[in-house]
Amino acid sequence: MEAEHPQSSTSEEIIGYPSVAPVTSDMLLEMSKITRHDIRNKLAIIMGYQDITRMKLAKGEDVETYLDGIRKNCLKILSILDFNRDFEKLGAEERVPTKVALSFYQAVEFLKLGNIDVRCDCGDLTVIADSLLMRLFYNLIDNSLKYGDNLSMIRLYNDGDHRLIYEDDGGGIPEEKRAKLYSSSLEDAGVHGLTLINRIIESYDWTLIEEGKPNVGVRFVIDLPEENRRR
Amino acid sequence: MKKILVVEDEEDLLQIYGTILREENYNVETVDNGGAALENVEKTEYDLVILDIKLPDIMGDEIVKTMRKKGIDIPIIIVTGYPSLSRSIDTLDLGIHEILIKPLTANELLRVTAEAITP
Repeated sequence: MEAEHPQSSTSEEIIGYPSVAPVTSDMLLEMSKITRHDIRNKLAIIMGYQDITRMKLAKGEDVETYLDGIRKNCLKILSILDFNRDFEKLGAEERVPTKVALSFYQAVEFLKLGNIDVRCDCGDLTVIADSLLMRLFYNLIDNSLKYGDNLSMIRLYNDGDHRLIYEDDGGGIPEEKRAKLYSSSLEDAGVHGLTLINRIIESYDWTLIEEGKPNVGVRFVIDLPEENRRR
Repeated sequence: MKKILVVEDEEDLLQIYGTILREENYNVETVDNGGAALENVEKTEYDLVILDIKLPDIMGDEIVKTMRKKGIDIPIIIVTGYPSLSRSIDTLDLGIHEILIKPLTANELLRVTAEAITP
């Protein structure tokens, strides 16, 4: 029996199929800046490990850790380049009915989550999206991993078919950082790296609000307009 | 032994700068955010601070301004992954010893560190 393709559907099932909003030149410029910065950082790490490797080899010490570091950061550069390529797709790729849970678990596969309890309770909720939906979840989870303190749980669930809620128990976002969360400025992009997430949300005509509590965890609420949900 | 505080939010780079500087017998402390950096410079006398400009909580230039306002007048080396930012920081006249652009080599780090610390 042929397996159901999660992204296949007929256009009759979709309300108000959204038009494609192409990526703008200022978005591309911003993305280029972020990409250059991130790659520069990874190259700094690779060069640093290379220098330490030389120092340690000269003393006859073990260098395995540093070689691992070089490899790990080469792979990170590859993922940054992939991400950049995906960003250019923003609005250029056809949007189709996409199962939220499937995109979420695709993102999970890219990340090392160890013992963290990751759950998606979205059932068959389907939205109109492209492959960047997976990237959106990737970024949210990646942020939880990067900034979460004693993180043990990540959960995505839906509140009816109007809202998607992403939560973790990683201690939340401090008040002083919260003000910059929705900024699209490159200067503020370091704040939980939400610039890309905001761009993707914007391109889908969704809205995103952070309702988490400091010292508890993050709680991102994504509001899905009716025309962007499958009937 | 000269005491250096390294402030950098990229964990690998903290380890790298720390390892390179310790190999040259510097006493190195590391923190990964601006808040901790400000706390540390108030309670400890460092000979040098090596500071990433883009930190998750406070921009590096703000940290320098706060330090100078509090009369903490130790040498500071700024490290940045944004070459264009280096010019704007330079014009702020904050008494920064040098602005280094990532990626930097171990030799460059050690040379500039030695220059900054030597009276």
